[in-house]
Amino acid sequence: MRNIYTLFAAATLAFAGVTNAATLTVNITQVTKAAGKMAVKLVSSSAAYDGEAEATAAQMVDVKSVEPISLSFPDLKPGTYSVMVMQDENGNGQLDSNILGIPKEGYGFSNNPRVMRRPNFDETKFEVKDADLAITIEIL
Amino acid sequence: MLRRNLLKLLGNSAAGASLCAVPITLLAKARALDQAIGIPATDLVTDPLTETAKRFAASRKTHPFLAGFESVTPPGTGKASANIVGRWPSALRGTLFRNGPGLFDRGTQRYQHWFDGDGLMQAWTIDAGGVTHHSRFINTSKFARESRSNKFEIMAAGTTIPNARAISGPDDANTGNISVLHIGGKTYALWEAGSAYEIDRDTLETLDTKIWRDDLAGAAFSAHPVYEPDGSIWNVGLFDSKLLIYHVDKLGALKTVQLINLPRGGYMHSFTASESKLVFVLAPLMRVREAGSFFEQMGWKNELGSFMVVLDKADLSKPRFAEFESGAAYHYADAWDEADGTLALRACWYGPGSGFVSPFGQYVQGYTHLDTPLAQELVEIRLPANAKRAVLQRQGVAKVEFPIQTNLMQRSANIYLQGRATHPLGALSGILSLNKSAKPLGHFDFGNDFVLEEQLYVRAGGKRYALGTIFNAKKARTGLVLFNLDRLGDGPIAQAWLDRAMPLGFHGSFLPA
Repeated sequence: MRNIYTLFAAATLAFAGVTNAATLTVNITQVTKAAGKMAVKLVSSSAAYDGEAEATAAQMVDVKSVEPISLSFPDLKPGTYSVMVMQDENGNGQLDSNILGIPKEGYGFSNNPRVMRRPNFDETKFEVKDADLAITIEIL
Repeated sequence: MLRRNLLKLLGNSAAGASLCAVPITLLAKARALDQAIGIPATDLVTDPLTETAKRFAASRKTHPFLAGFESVTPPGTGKASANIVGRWPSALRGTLFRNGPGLFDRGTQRYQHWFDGDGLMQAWTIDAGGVTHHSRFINTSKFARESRSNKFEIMAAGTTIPNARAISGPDDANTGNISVLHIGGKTYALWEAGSAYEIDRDTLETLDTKIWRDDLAGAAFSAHPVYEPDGSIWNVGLFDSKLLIYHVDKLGALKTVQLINLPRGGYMHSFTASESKLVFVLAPLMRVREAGSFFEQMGWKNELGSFMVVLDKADLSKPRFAEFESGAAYHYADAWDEADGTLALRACWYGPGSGFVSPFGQYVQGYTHLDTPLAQELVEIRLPANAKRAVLQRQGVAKVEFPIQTNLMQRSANIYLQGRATHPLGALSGILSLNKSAKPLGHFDFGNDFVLEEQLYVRAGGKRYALGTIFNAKKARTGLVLFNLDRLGDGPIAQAWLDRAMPLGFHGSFLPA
């Protein structure tokens, strides 16, 4: 049987291994069109959210079916983040919208805010700490 | 083991007694935790929409008129022959399509606002065999989604939906429930804040959303297009402070689209047109909060007043704006150009706070009276040439609605409406006509036990008729009635009654055979 000191030492070692290296898994659901690519952008500031500073990371995956899409962002420092997702169905590199500015292609934001306008950074932000984290984003 | 040993040590001491008392408090806390994580308890308050459903079900047992706000079981009602009274003119052949809210209940919950019900298209076919009726729900994306889960999931016009899903735009909340359009050989269910839905004229099955042009997908398309004499239509879509104008030709092809930026937003249900102008009146009902249903997010900003937007049909790009007193209209009777350049129109007008945003809401909720019956009146609105402000003239006729449009873009010699000065249900049970001075001409009233719905102007065999539906609130039955428009005082010349009630509806359109 391990004595308490062994347990404590083991715990300390375990903590020592978990600094600045969390993995964020983004699960994208409610995809309705198997077309184009899903562009996923991870930002860590309001400026980056508004396109005025660099994003932390970005990924693009082909949308081959309407099944949920899962992707990961490893080695993240603890902090405040936001994720934006856009499905470029027709491959023109942008989120198409209609004449009134309402998006015609699928999109989503972390926290899935219930606003009928572009949500702001505060409405989409979440915390990454030392542990791995999974979030779900629904495509609208 | 530790706790048992500790208790043994404490024995019957005071400390021991207090230690025994602790578990009871912990039990109460545990019970609260159970409740918090969803374990039912009889003392939990049910959600307001479930309370609404219970109240409606209880009231409906003893108040047959509430059948006018009951849900039809999807997918709709099958073909039924109506029982004929009187004689339907042989020249009158065709189908009255009528739209309106037909489903208010899902799971244990009920909507609280009349405008929320999912669109149910009804078709009354008049032919040599008599009158037959059937109905079918509009299979909007909202209806399809909520049918799969049997839960209200999407934001509604008047009811706050708990845990509503995020939506990308108003079209996701489209109920397709307001009116009907026939153009270019096709038939569409109309809403107002999103797309028209094409339906099959015979089966009433939903085909698809109508995309007039690629960049118009999902854009607002109102329930009240205005016909030109050449068979083309104007229509409008309002979104925030953007006004989108459509001109569609009689073959159903899009001719013109114009986007107008308004000085401020507001609310508008329909619009009107004179020979030369399109006219829009926006009520100062605008978004003041982001929580709740569409109408709950809105508040009256009376200090701003309503405003008019006037567009020259020959050049839609140059809007003229005029200020106006605060209020709103659902429907217009007519609009015309006067020789000196004055633009005039007539409407059924509501002052702010007159029940405009939630007609019959309390009946939907199972209450059996209305705290605030609708208080609308016939008005004439006049905008002289070059004036910055329009003027409202009350015509001294109250409690009238659903003006029957008989003349396109001209001042109608007579004006025809549904109305009733007082009605125990706060409804309309009469049809009346007024002369050019707004004085009564002809009139017929079905009495307290009836609700007369929208009547439409129909010409057949060289004669002028009013055709529409009627609800027997005492027997819970729905029927179709026909009047000679120029002899309203004679009463209905023909009737056709179903053996059941259908939900009260909004608007329709007659398609001649």
